[in-house]
Amino acid sequence: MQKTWRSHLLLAYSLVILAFLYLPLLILALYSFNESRINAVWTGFTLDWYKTLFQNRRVLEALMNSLFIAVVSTVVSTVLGTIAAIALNKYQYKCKPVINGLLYLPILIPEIVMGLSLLVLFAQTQVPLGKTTLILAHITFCLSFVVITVNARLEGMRHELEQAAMDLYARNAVPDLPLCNAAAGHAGHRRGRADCLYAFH
Amino acid sequence: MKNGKLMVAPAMLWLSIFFVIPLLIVVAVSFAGRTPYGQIIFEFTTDNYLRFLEPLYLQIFADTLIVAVITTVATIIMGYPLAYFIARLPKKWQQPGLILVMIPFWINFLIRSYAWVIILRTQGVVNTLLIKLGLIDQPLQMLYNDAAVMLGMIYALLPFMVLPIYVSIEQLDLRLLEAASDLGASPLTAFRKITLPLTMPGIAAGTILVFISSLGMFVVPDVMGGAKSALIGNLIQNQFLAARDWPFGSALSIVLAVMSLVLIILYYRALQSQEGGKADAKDVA
Repeated sequence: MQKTWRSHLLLAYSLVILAFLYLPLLILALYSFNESRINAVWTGFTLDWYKTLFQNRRVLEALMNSLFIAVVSTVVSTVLGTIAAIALNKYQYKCKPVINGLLYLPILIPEIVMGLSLLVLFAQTQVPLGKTTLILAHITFCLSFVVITVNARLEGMRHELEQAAMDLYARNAVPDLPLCNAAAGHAGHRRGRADCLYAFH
Repeated sequence: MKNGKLMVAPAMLWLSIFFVIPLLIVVAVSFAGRTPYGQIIFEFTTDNYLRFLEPLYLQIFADTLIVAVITTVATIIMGYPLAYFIARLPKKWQQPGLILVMIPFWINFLIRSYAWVIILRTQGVVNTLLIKLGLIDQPLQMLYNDAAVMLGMIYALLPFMVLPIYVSIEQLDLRLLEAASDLGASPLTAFRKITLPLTMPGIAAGTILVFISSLGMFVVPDVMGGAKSALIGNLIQNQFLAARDWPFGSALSIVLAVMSLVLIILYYRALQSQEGGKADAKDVA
């Protein structure tokens, strides 16, 4: 990249934005060591808060629950989503518009609507809210994300394959897919987790 | 292989059960009534939708739209240069760069909003600093207003905009820009005529993600805006939790969902007509 004033400006701007992204988190982390309970005034360094945290059984339980929900949701949504994306890519479907519509709709509708529609479903069918319902909800959120991401990747790959090897019988290798969609699914539901927990509790 | 086609079935089935059916139930509930204690009575009434037409609620909806638009525009202004920067990094730095942008994203909204509360509240970092430096006497009220809510939303949704734009910038063929400069175009012209139109899909994808998310947000407005925040997300959440008016909440949700879809369709139409115009110009030239 040429060292023009433009590229320097871009670098500076990007650093500012990155600082904007990270500063609040760093300050948050910093103040978790602050002795004072309410003030922003720095009264002293302490690990007391962390001690209390790790001794609090309920918090640890909640953490374990969250992790469990996260893992299960990721695995299921990734598996279902990847299979669906591969199928969409490989085969022609007559009802493709319907399938596409169904897959894109969860992303186009605000999450709060999805969250409480599930709440209503569980309430009407008398299913008690808990870990299972949270897992079900998360999988539903993430499924679309996974399919869209994997599909995008597959389309890109197909392009390359078509360009490079017309007469090579290359099998549809999907090496970086697991990584790709695992990341997508992971990021997707971690995000949804807070909203979901908030909405349901 | 006929079996292969069925691979798409599990996902479809899941979405049908856990997405379509709940939505249909919500539609049904939105036409229902309720007892004073919050039980749903299944009688057909359009009261809930008519209630939405009251000025109070229309105002809330308008406010939500404005906040969403401003948030989206701000994330574009902040996100596009950042995405461009990462896309122009040497190849081996691009992945770390992206991860750098994603990491805050993996920390959930609640925590990230709370970080801003620590910074901005009356006893927070900024105020304490300013008072200590003697620059102000009284702490500034920086939270619990629309600006704070927008700040929170922009902060939360920025990565959503950066990623799609990065993808489309990365796919941009640099030779096109080289050709442009060979033909005597200034960098600004090259950007306007080549980079911007070709990265529009990325901007469009990011816009949709950010706009839809900010329309329905309730966590961030709750934390940053407190009781003063009256956005549709909070209103709906309120109906389901505190007010126990599920039919009204359902009606609001359906209105929100339909509005989102309509706006997206309009957006896409606008984009396509724009691209159509540009294509004509290119053909002529």
